Amino acid sequence: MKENKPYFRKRNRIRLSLRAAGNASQRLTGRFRHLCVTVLVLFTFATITNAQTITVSGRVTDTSGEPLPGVTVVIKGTPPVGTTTTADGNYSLRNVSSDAVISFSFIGFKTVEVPVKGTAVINVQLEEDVTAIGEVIINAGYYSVKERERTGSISRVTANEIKNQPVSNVLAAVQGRMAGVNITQNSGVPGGGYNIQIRGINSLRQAGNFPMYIIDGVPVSIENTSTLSAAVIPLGAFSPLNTINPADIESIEILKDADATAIYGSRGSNGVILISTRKGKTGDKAGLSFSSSYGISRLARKMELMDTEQYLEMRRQAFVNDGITTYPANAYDINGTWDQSRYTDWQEELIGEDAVNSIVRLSVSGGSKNTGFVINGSHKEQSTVFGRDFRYRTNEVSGNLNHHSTDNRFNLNASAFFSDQSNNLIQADITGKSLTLIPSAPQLYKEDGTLNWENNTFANPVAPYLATYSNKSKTINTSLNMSFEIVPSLYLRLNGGLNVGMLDELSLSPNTRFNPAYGSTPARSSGYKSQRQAFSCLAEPQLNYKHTFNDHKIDILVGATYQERQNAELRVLGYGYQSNSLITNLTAATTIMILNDEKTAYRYAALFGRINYKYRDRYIINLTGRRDGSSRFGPENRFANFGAIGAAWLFSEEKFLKENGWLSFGKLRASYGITGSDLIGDYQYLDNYTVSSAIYGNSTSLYPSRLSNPYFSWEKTTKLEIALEAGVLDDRIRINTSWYRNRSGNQLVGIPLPATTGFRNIQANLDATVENTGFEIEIMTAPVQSGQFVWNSNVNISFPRNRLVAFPGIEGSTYANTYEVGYPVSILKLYNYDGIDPETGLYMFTDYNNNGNISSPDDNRVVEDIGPKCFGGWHNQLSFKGWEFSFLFQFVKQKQWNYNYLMMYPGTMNNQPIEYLDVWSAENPDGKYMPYTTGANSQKNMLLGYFKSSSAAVSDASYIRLKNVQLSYRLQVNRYISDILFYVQGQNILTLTNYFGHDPEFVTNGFLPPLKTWSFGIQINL
Amino acid sequence: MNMKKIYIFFCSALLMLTGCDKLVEVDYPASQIGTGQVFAEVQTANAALAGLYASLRDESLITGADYYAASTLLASYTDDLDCYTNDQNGVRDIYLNQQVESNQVIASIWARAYSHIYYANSLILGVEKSIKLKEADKDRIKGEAMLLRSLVYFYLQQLFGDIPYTASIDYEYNRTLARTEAAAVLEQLEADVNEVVELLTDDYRDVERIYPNRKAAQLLLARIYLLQSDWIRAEAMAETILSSPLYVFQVDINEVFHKSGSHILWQMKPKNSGKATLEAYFYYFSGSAPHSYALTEDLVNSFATEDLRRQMWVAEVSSGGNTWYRPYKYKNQEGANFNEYSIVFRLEEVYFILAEALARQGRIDEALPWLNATRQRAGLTGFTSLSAEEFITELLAEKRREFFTEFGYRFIDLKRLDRLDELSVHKPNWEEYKRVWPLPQNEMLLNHNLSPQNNGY
Repeated sequence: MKENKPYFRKRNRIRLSLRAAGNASQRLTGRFRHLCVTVLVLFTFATITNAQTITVSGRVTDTSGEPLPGVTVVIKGTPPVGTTTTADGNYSLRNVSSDAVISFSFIGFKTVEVPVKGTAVINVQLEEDVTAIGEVIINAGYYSVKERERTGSISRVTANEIKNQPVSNVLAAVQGRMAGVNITQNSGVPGGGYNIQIRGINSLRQAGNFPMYIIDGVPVSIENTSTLSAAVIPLGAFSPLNTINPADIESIEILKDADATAIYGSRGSNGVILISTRKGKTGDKAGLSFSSSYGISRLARKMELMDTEQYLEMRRQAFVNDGITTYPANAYDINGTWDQSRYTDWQEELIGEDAVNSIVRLSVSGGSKNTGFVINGSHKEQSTVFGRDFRYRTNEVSGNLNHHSTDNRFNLNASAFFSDQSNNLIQADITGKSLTLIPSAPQLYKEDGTLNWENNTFANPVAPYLATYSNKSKTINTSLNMSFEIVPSLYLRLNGGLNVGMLDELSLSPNTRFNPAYGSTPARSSGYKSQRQAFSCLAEPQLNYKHTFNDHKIDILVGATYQERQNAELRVLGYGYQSNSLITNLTAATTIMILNDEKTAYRYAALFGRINYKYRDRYIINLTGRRDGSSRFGPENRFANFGAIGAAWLFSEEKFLKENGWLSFGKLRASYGITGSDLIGDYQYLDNYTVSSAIYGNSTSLYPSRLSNPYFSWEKTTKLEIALEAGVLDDRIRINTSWYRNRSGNQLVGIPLPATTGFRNIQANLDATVENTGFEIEIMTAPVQSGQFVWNSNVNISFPRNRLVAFPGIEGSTYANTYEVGYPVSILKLYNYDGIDPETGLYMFTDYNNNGNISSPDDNRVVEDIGPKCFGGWHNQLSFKGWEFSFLFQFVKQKQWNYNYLMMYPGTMNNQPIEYLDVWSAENPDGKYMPYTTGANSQKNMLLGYFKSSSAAVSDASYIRLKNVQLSYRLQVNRYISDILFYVQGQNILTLTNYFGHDPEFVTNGFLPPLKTWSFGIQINL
Repeated sequence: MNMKKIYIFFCSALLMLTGCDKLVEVDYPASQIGTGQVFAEVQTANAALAGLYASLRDESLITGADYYAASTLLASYTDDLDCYTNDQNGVRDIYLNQQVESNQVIASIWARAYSHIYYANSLILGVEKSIKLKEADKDRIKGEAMLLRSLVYFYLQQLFGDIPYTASIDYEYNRTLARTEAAAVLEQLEADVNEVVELLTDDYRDVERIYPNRKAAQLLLARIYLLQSDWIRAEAMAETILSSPLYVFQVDINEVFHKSGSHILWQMKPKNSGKATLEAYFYYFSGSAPHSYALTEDLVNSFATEDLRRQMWVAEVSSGGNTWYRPYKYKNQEGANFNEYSIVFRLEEVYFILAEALARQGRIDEALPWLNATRQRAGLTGFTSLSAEEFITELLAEKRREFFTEFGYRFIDLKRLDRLDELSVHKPNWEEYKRVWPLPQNEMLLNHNLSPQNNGY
């Protein structure tokens, strides 16, 4: 039997190709024509048994070109006659009447009906039917897998769920939608980044926790941080997904467990984010879609601050407390220099403008039987809450071409994106300033419109507006996926991509931003210019073999990866100008310094494979592995192996349950494996000197780069997961639960060293283990599914837990003050705040070692964890006829630094939140805060210092946020304009929280928080 | 059949992998040079030395002036500068004499100083190991690096008392260093600078005297002898310098801070031509209250009205009926500086060293001319006779007027003469234990061998 099969298949193949040739004969000319016609005639004689009937054959594939076996192919009529497709998606029907209609149906896909009209070969592509959850095809990177058959842990968000959102980065739209994926927006400044944590913190190095991003099969560099923007964009981190328009994205898959990530080996530890963009569809009718939206963003939360009267009273009291009777010369606010009757709401004035964002997008698609294409273009503009002309503009053009040969042996998918972004901002975020600037501060501008320095006494907060930061970036990403069926069931694939990026940054500091008291002239103006270029190429040849025999299905993949990335930067400082009007042009600077002229390279090579075995579509085993080599490690430790095993049991397919009926789906799956991380930066193992821009005596200079350690190697994470998935009532309710335990060892960190070594740290593998365990639940329900009215409601919730399991020798190590074995790595060690001394009104802290003073590390023994305890989202989508309404609540339970941590000492020349009015005094013994000081009381200064790093500075920062709400109406128009969609959207509309501070969502304290946005849009589809 | 193909592919892929070592090799990045390479040529070795000078000039204790410079911080720690900044990082606490172990500025000063020491050690060991450099170049580079290192140690010792001393670049050794007693540190520095005197020559390698020579090393040595109360050797060393034809006392007060004077032993050249010295840039303010520092009234009042230094080296700023004073030794602002470099060692100090060394030996009459030289240049009359005690008091006062806001002389002198407590007149928070600063808290945590903390902190 086994021997016979290939022979049989081969014969079948010949017949198929003959027919294909016959069909194409009309187009052929010349000497082949005769031959073809002859063959056709012979063929027709051979097959036609009845003058009105023919034999129809062809192949059924899914939208990605994968053959679909088991598709029901039926000639419509009574009774219907039909067959099913073979393992490679082929079918053949005899005696088909030439005017019959054939129907193709398959669970999980939309049924397609095709009139025969005398055609002998009908190839069909079936589109997924999204309602059948189990049959959805999930992109797992190097391969794809049916939702019901996957052995790994993969979260998915599709275009349908995040459509029309007024966001410039898709990460903002998927926040709260995926279990185990915690996304935090860094800043409300357009173009800012996002912090994304997939199942917790694995590495003790912050930069070692970035996930891997892959767009259409091509990895995107995440380390391309900006050098000049850190004061306005937290950490200078641009999101790698800024370059891609959320509307061009078809789906996002996030790979989490070992089974899904081990095939990415050394780069899979922190999870993998796969972005698939919209593909051209074959056989699609031509379409044109135009959309436009307009939105307004404002600060979502304002802090309540002291007014002038309260502020001045605080100041006077502070001087009284400090025993100072004559106000000092520089106490302008209170010594009569400044007008004390003024009041300005600086939050309104400095960060209270309406930020406007507008998006226009045009998309054209079309195709023929074998080829489909889509071309998108969009333009987006966003202004800022800082007002002025600060603006973020993006232009994006992308396209995709999808082709398969008529015999379906060859498939090609090519994508290209071009993104052009420009962003101009202030050089440094002034959110902090808007909270501390005193309410009676002088006006910002004089009558004549120039900056008011109030006779050189006022550090004008808008003077920094003159110092600007701007960037322009251009990115081109291309990707190419080709697949060729060499012999039946054996596919040769090539996945490749090129990525070119250019980032130009300009940071300007004209002398006019400084108080004229500094006596500066344009000779002190400066301009930094940075030009970065990145090039990366990828080639991944792969072989894929699929085979089915009886109840056995096997799918084998082997492949290799070669990747190279080159980065170059030229950073120049121009200093001293004749006039500020020339500041953007470096040639006008009197001094030009090259701060950095760098070229670096990263090379990476790997071999990977997967073996997937299914028995009776019920028992599944999935083996994946990878051998990796990276130029980031010294020659001693350049290669390492990673791998995983995953298994699934679809118990609902077992007879005893199948007959039961109520359980529509049930699966138990588990996986175990090892992944790694090489996010260490390039060249860290070298012992060398670096060229510096510092010059001495006309000589360029060199300085020692680092303490070198050529022996460090990979960080490794062992991942274990067990999951149960179930569907009841025909999958109207689906529940996925999973438990995981990830352990990361061999921690690659800069081990902190005392300064006497000359450096702050040395790169080495630390023998510590960080464990992330967690429990994730996803519930997808469809409470109402009547024809007209559909309601879907999904909930996801994650309970992550992080723990430092082992850290041999922590007591004597440099980490003793940062970490504690048995606690999360996101802990803070704080002084214990004991309240206010009822006698003196001074803050009290627990003196654990009883030595009479409060000092670290003996007295900061309170441990608080600022990692999330629980997070998730609740998404609802209701539709009725053309109407659709959806909303998403996102929630996080956590503690964080509160405003006490940022506090400027109450009583100094800084405004304060009204909470600080509640000051202890003999008359107010329950007051929460210590009596004010102008800064002259050194004991109070010391206590305030402790207070800022005490248990009083960390508190609950949990929140529930109405993240997104959307109402849309689709109007069916006529045969020319298919439909028009109108919608209104809200983002970050409502936040419920007890947090004491600006906003509970932040990565680095003190930057502009996420904004509240309302937007309106229209989409016209032809 | 298909399985066989897969097998063949798999095997050939495995074969490919054995060649993978080459695939993942990369060249050195454009801006980096292997350490061995640096010391294979004199140009690159010189560039490495230039890096140390540049770093010391731009961000170290011996920077001309800024929030981390000994010049500025010690002037405000004593009674020469008032601090006006509202900054909460610690410079104000230093001014108020209320620094604690978590003071950020102190932590930075410590870390920067040891990074410069590592840097110097790396240079010293690099040239010692080099087989390609000429002996003369080796001696010069090693000598200069050792001198710079000694100067950094000198200030660290003055600020912190007992300090860790290392000549190694081995981080395993350096991370557990214990503190060396102050006297032993000075002995070690004496030995080191004596070695420098052997290694360097009297010739300046740049006519602008931007690299120290043997005489500069001898000046540091004389300073160390003073600290050790070794008056005889201090005297001898000062005489050695004064006997050199390279140096001539500058009699024109307007020329003291101009770069071309023959009274200069060593000065640091700003990064670019036209760039202002940090001293000129940092203290500047006009038309307003000071934003960083201004001279104390006490210092300004210590000048006689006719003292030319009061007229030439102090600038008055008035605003809103108030008057402040700022240091005005260096005058050229940004873009217009073509004749000022930051002077680190000048001949006047040698005069004061000699005066003190002689006076301490009871040879007041011999000492008087050396004390009077700067007075006379400033248009004042010289002293004709003073008691031993008066002499020291006058020397202290005269040195303060001559060297205010330069490299913390006042603090070092008061400390050496055990007269720091005099500060309490103007500094209400002054206490005896504040003669040394606390070691940075973080350093104590990272290296337990640094315990115990300095007394009082």
